[in-house]
Amino acid sequence: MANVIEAVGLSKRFRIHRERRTSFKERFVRGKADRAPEYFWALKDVDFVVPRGASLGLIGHNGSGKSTALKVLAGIYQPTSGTVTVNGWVSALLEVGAGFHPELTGRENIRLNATILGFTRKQIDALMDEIIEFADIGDFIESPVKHYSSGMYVRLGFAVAVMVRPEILIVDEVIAVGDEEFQRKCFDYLHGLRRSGTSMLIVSHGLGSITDLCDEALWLDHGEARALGPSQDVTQAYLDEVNAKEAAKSVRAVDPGVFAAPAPGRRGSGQVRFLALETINGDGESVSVLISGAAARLRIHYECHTEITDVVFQLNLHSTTGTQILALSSMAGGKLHLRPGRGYVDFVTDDLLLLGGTYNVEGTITTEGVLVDASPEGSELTIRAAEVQTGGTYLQRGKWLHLPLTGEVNPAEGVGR
Amino acid sequence: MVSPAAQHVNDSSRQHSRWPLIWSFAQRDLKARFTATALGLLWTLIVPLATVLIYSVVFSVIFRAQAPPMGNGKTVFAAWFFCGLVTWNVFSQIANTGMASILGMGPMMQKVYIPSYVPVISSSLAIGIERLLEAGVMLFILLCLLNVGWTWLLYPFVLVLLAVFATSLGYMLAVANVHFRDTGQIFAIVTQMWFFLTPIMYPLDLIPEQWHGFPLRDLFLLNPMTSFVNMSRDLVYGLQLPSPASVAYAITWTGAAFLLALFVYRRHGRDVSEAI
Repeated sequence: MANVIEAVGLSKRFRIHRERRTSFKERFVRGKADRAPEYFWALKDVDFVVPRGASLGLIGHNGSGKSTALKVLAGIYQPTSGTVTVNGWVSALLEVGAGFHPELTGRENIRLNATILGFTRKQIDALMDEIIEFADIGDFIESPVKHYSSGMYVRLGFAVAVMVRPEILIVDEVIAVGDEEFQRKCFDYLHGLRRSGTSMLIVSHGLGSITDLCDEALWLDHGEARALGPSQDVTQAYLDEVNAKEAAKSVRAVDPGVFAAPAPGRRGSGQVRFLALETINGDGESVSVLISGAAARLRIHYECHTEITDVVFQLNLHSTTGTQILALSSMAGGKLHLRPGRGYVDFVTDDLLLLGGTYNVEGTITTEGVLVDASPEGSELTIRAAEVQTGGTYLQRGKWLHLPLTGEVNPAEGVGR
Repeated sequence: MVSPAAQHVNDSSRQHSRWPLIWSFAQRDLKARFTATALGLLWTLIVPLATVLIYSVVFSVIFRAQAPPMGNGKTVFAAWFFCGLVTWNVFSQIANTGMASILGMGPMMQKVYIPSYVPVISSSLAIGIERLLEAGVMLFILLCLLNVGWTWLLYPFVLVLLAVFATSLGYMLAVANVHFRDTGQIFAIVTQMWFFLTPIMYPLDLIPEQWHGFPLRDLFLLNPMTSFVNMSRDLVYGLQLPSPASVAYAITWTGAAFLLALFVYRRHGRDVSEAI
């Protein structure tokens, strides 16, 4: 058969357990639930196929039905209506620590999981060393998995799921838990599996990994299929909508946020205080999220109590891991002279060169090197990617050229940044 | 909760047997039980031996209950009682642990597909093996009392039949337990009543044939456990063949329970992992 997975009109309905009677006693004391049960469609009439050797990515917001779809495919849930045909044997890695028994050691769990997948003792013995080596968790392999860190859980779970070389691999957003090095190892391995003809079904919020690993993507929205097609197109469509939604809801009044935390304990001499940091898009609208590569304005609202000269405002951006990304100082525009009252200073750019992500912002006001005010910790700046990005923080403009040894100079397909 | 049109088809070439899995879960159960406590294996023997001692003292010394004679003509109340108790323990422990087994495997069943009968059968395998030790001790005692006969050879068949009966019941209870979490409490009471309504520590002859116009003894004979206990006693204690009626009756009950369990599996077995 050409397709390893065929889903036709796949629907899954859950009962909303508002007042579910889960014991005979409750049934007896309070009678049958008088309200008609309420239902919730986690999947509504979804169709898709996965051809042999192809890979499909599932994307969508939280609660869109991605994980439900995987559970139905893995056979854990029964569809409410529609059919699912799976031609091939499936190894599924759903959530962290799939199918581990907490009391058993790592080695025993490998054995147990492989047995669940239908391997014989001999086959398991043959795979054991490979799996342990891939998981790379050292002596922990001999201790009960209840003592494992979440990273070790994922390592072991992933190692078992992929090393058994399934015909169909189902992976649900788990790789993100491991460290950078292990993630890379996983992706490399997944690429290898894909080349060797394993069909894959992957759920991820990392759109980069979807475009990277999957031929096609299915975009689920509240249980319904919004788009199914080449992964690049579908992820881009999804991203565009997310950005449009953010923009629509983020026109709002200035939110003082953490920038105007209570005065006590605040550092600095205090002649000038931060009131708020406002983020404004290219259309002059106040927004909660800025778009990478677009125009942006950072507006610092302040309140001045006494006249003061030689004032410098500075914004420091740090990554969530604490690395300083950049420092923007108003010194570049000359020192400021402030009079009592409220006002604001703006930092304006036509081209925000930060990639999507969340950054910590810290603001300082100084006069002649003396601290006047510092914003309390915890202010965040959120930037949304305009297109699928692979990693890093900086949006480097430019394009790739391919220069063959002979013949004409050919610009390769333009890459957007 | 599945409409007839809905289905999950998996015509994989790799349709493997579930027995290795069942066996590995059973091994795990046994290992956990025997390594968790200092005395390990001994506990499975101490508890029933203590029960036999207590009941024998209470019933044969205080109440002066009389047991029927053994195959060799002697009468030992403790041996007679032990024989019934082993049969009962096989039944009640298989049914009770089976009932808890699906919920016990809960977190795992939500992440990997494991057919719902797997935990039930593996727990009953583990319990069955444990109870075999007890049966061994019982046979050893009978051997010491010089009460041995060829009818012993038929005893394993009774135990297997009983295990199938108890496992089928355990499976249905396990599915009920997923939906109604107090199934355990209810069945604990039922088990206790059932124990006293089965002629284990008193001979069936003690039950009046007629009681206020009721055919009371016939009612007791309706209890399938009465058949199982009587069959076991006939074979290993009385050294005689059980009555064909009780054999047919036990087989009928076992067949019915098995078919009903199969029906429950077909009908509700797939919904279990959702309700956990």
